[in-house]
This record gives sequence, C-alpha cells and structure tokens, in this order.
Amino acid sequence: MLRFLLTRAWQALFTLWVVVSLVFLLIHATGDPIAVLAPEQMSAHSRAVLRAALGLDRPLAVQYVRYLAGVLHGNLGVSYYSGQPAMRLILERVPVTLELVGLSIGVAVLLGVPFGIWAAVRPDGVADRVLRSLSVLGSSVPTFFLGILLIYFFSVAFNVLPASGAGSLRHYIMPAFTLAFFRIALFTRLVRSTLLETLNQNHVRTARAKGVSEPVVILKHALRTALLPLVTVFGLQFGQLFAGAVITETIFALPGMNRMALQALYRLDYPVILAYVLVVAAMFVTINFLVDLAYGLLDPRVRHHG
Amino acid sequence: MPSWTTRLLAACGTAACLLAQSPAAQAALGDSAQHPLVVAFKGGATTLDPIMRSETTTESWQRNIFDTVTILSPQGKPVPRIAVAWKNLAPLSWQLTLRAGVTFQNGMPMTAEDVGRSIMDAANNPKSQMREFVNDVTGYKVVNPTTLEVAFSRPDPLFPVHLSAIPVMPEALIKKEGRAAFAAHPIGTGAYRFVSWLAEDHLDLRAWKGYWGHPVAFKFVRLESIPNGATRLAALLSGQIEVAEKINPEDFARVKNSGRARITSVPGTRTMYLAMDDWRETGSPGMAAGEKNPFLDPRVRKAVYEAIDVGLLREKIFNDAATVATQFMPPLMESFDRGLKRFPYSLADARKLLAAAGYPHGFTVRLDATNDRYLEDSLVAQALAGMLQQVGIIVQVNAIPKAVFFPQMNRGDFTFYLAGWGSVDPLSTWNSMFHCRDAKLGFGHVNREHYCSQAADALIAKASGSFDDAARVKLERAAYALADRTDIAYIPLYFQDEIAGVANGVVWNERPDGLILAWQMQRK
Repeated sequence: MLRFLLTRAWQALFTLWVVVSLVFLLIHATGDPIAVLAPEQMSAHSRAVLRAALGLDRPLAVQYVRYLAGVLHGNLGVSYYSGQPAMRLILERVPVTLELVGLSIGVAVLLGVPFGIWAAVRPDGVADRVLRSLSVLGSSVPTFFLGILLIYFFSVAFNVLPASGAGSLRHYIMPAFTLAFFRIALFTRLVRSTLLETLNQNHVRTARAKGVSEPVVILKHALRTALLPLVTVFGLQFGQLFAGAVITETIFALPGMNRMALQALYRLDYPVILAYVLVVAAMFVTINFLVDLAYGLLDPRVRHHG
Repeated sequence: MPSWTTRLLAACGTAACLLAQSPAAQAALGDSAQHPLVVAFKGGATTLDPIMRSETTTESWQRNIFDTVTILSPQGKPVPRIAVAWKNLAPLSWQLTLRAGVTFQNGMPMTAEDVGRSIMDAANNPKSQMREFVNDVTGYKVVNPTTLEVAFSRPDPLFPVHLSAIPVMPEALIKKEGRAAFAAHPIGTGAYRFVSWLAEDHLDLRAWKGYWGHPVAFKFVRLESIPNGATRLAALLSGQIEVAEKINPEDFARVKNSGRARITSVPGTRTMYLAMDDWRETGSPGMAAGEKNPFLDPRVRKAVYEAIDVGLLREKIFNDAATVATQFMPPLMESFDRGLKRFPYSLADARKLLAAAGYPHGFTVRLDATNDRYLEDSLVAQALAGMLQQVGIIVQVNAIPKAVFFPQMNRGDFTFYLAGWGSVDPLSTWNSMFHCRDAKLGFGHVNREHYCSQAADALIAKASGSFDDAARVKLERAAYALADRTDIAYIPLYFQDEIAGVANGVVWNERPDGLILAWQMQRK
C-alpha cells in the first residue's frame, strides 16, 4: 500500500509539473498582458516601468525558472490586477464552486440512481419509457438556456428565488439544479444500462435460484457490480463540473473560481491563470486517486493486483 | 408581460408563493445591513488600492470610500472635493486651497501633506495607472495647513481636470502598514466606510459618521457584480437590486414597461472611431500582398466617412442609446464645438470621391475589431462592412478578443480597424493620438496611423502653455478642425452612452464620466 501511495504521489508531482510548464509556455505565446492591463493613455515610458515592475521584461527562460522556484516555495506570485496573492484569489473562491458542484452531483446521484433502477426493473415499462424521453431532454437542453429560463420563472415571474449571488442555500437552488439536470439524465441512463447487463449475469441468476428476494437481488447482488462504471463516471463528472461550471457561475453571478479564472484568461493575468490550473490539476489527481481506491473497495480483483 | 405569465402569476397561490420574500416587510431600503441599497455592475473592482487601476468600474467602487482632489461636473468642469479652490501662480506652479476639517475614516485628520504625497504617489509608483494625469508634477510644498503649491516640469493648464483622477490617501498609514495591507482594508475620506468585500464580486459599505459632506441618503450600500446582462435585468425587475448598469439596448422597453424601474442614459466620454493606415504605401496588413494602400488618399478617407450612416447604427444597434459623433472629442471636453456637424451621409458623393481617387469599383480590405471590449463592437463592425459594400468597398470583418486585438493594434499590425478612445483631455489626447510620432519626446505613442500635421501640432503646443481658457479652447478647436475636417485623421463614429436601470425608489442619473457613486444617490 505504501509503495502504491508513493508511486501515485510521484506521478502526481510529475503531472503537475508538466501541466504548469505547458500552460506557462502557452499563455506566454498568446499575447502581452501589458497591452491589456495598461490604460490606453499610458505612455510608452510608463508602460516600460510597469512591465519592469511586474518582471515581464525578463527573458522567458528567466521568468520560467523564477516562477518554478516561486512555486516550490509556495509562492505563486500576485495578480497583475488586484495585487493579491494569486493562489488566495483562487482558493477563497473554491468553497463556492465545491458547494455548487457537490450539491448538483448529490442531486444527480440521489435522483439518477433510483430512476435508473426503476427503469431497469421493468425494461420498456411505462416508467422506463417516460424516464428515457426525459433523459433525452436532459442531455440536450443547454446550460445557459436552462439557467435563464429558471431565472425568468423563479426570479422575475414568481419572485421566489434570488437571481444572483451566493449568500444562502436558496441562492444555490437554481444553479445546482441547472448543473444537475444533465447529470440526472446521464446517471439514469448509465445505471439502467449497466444494471440490465448485470441482471443477466451468472451470479445474479444463482442468487435468484437460491430464492433470494427480488429487492435483495437487485440492490445487493446486481447493483454492486453495476456501480463500478458509475464510480468512474462520477469521478469524471466531478472533475468536469469542478473545472467547467463557468457558464453557470457567470449566469447566476456566483463568485466561484471558474469565473475568476475566465476573467484572468481574458486579461492575461498569468499568475492567476497558473494558480487556477494548479488547483484544477491537483483536484483531478486527487479524484483519480480516490476513484482508484473506490475501485479497490468495490472490486476484489483490482485490490489484489493494486 | 405576456398574458400567460399573468395567468400563471394569478394561479400562483401555493407553496411557491409563500416562499416569496417581500422586501417591503423588512426595514426601509438602505437602513440596515440586511437590506442595503444594491448597485449591480457588469464587472467588479479588481483592487481597492485607488491608484492601481484606471478603469471605470474599479474607480466607481473605490470612489465611494475615497475622495478625489476635484471631481467633474456633468458639464465636464472640475468642481471642488478635497480642493475647494485652485489658482495658477506661474506656468510651472499651481496653488491648491484644501478643505479644512476633513478626517480619514480611522479618525486621523487629513493634512496637506497627505494630499501632496498622494499626488506624488500617483505620479511615481511604478504600478500606478494614474501616472499620465500628473506626469509633469515634480514636487509640492505645504504653505500652510490648507494651502499646497505644486511644481511642474512642463505647464499643465488642465491640472484641475487631472486632479479628478487623483485619490487622497492616508499616506502615513500606508507607509506604516504597506500598500497590500492598506488595499485589504482601505481607509479614505469619502462618504462610505469599507466593511468587507470579495474582489470582483461585491463590496459592502456603511455610511461614515465623520464624513465632511452632505449626509448620504442610504446608510448601507452593497456594490456587486452580475456579469450576465439577462440576470442583471432579472434582478432589477424582481426588486433584488436597485441600480443595474449597462442595460442592453434591446431591453429598454422591458424596463420601461415593468413599472418598477426606469432607464437613465447620457453621452459618455468614449469615442468609437475608425482608424486608417496613413503611412505604408503597399503591403499593409489586411490588404492583398503588394496592393497599394488606398487610405493614403484623403479622398478615399472622406468617401469611407460619407458612406457610413451613423444615425442608422445608433437607431438599429443601440436603440438610440449612443450619440452620433460630430467630431473626435466628446461633448464633455472643453474643445467640443457645438456648431460642428458631420460630413453628410451621401453614397453618391462617396462614389464620386472613390472614382476620382482611382477606385471606381472600390477595393477589398480587412476591418479588424474586438468582440469583447466595446458595447456591440463586432455587430457594429458587421454593419459597417454592409454599409461600405454599397460603394464597392468589400470589407472582411475580423472580430477578435481584446487580448489578441490590442497587442496587434499596438504593433501597428492593422490597416483599417474599429476601436475606442476614452478621453482624458483634448491636449493629452492630441499628444498621444494625433501628434507627429516622436519617440524621444514621447509624442504620438498611440498614433499607430502615423498621422502628422505640423501646423496642428504647433497649435496644440501653444495651447499646452496657455492658461487663458478662451484662448486655449480656440487653439484646440483649430487643431482638431484640421485633423477632423481637413485631413480626416480618424473617422469618428459615435460616443457610447452611459446607461443604467434605476428602481423607482431611487434617484440616480448617469454621469458622463461613467462613475456610479452611491453617495450621490437620493431617495424618491
């Protein structure tokens, strides 16, 4: 187990280094932050002073080495725009994003898994057919449209939910549902299809032959096997949402880290972009690690080869 | 509102409606921290250090906490804030009379030393974005507690205007705790005290009891960012916020018909213009390789000017919330000439000019524009392409993000492009946008078109040393007439309007400088 952990930690560090270096080189190739930062009226002399003050007058190699050295010391530099440490700007917005993602994934699993089971128990029954058409709808409505639609009804027409901000749980209802909508459909379809597959497998038939009651067969024998692909998709979705909630954060004016990162990208605020990339990469590495662990718990074969 | 929503509303008598919060049931607007006056912006302030960012939203948020030395009136004249009077003693010296009895929000009295050092900070801090306003200041002298003399390396007749960009900061405190700590908990002399904030998201403010000016109408104020236009509008119409800036032109009718809010708009200080390469004979980027640059011929420039129907842009794209530019400098500037009109829109005349210049069938050119910087920028570029096609000029629109556009523009990589200029004053605008390029003296540093008129430069040089307002304005107008009318250095299109939606309980009229200041808002 210790060797497993060490290997994974080493791989994680290597991944982070590659990601940061790639992004560092890519963003420096895209443009000049001073051209966006400096007001139009600023003279050439003042621009040069500003460039030097931000260390952007140095050769790229020097900037890169300095940046890496800073990262190793836990210093990711300060934002060109706010003067605040770049990492803090991102980290103080992580909770909002995590709450949003956690809520929507939670809703998606709590609704999607039972729906999937329900649909699989009687394939082509009424519930199955209704759920299938609903899941097509769920997978095809774009986030921004659903968000605006919800705002129109629940903020303007009925005036029961706030259109923007992150002050209370009420503020999260619409954004979390907007994000969850697609995932409910996804989990429903996934659980349905994998469950249908496992219901025909030998161990399920054996259980039935032994006279185990149908709910126990489904929930204990079949579902456990069917959960494996779900865990993989759950991990992928979590990572995708964590780094992809930007449209929802923008529409509902939630102060999440993705909105901050998008602004930083527009303005070429390098330190903030890099801090964001580091956080997201670290998150992905952690999720993958947890997914691997969960595999071990659910599937004895993985555990023994680990 | 369509009738089906009305019916839904009528039918809504269930649990959902019980959840509804009625703001009226709480304390009066702006009287408690739970129910503050809320002003929503498209963006948010990136920093609360008042010299680090020259950008309207950031300045709006900061200037509820900080006073500037002067402020611009709706007519563009500098009027007293911290300075109550100013006098020009000699070409290189201004005297400021300061308001007595002003106190910082930490209880420390504001001194003449604070004002002097704030000006020097704005001029000298390497990261200061206010440098251009006070570039020529060399030092100051405190004559007595309310009198300050400021010394210059070059005459600055518009110093009182420039002081409207200079915030007064508690310099002793900044020296003690450092700029970063100061920006995290800013202290100024303004009407509101800092309570808490999240950069670019929201700023909570509370009226300050020791404020020297009129007591404010709203004790608790929250400034926040709602980036999405539809959400901002929804928040205004549902009563969640009181003021929403930058309402999209197509939504004006909805605001007016809602019965809960109104629209306020005023011509701003941003000129949208077309720039044309005025120096490369051939091989301009955006033209076919080896092709002659048609814009070198003044007749072509005038033809483009006359082929554009700005009135139509104003009506169709901006729903009348833009002002047709009769000249490059916007109405707020002292050089603005009310008597001027645009060259009339005339396709026939434009075709005649093109034929005379040797382009009877027009030519092909790329028009570069941003798609995320100015209100409806890429839409305007598309519309211009359509208009120019009528006189045979085939325009390929290249609308790109600002982060890509501006570096290319600064390198002079464009032949023909749409951009905006936020004006400070007619003199510095001339010296950076119109003056013959001179890297050594720092003239024409954003004159990417290499426009050059020595006659006009001479007029501006004379105006720059003139402290007689009437004489100076006459010189400025003469210079701009040469550039705008004779040479057509740029084609001015329109001035962007400053627009906001305001709830019924609040009195607020947009300012031409675009600042939204809670301390100037009133109750109705």
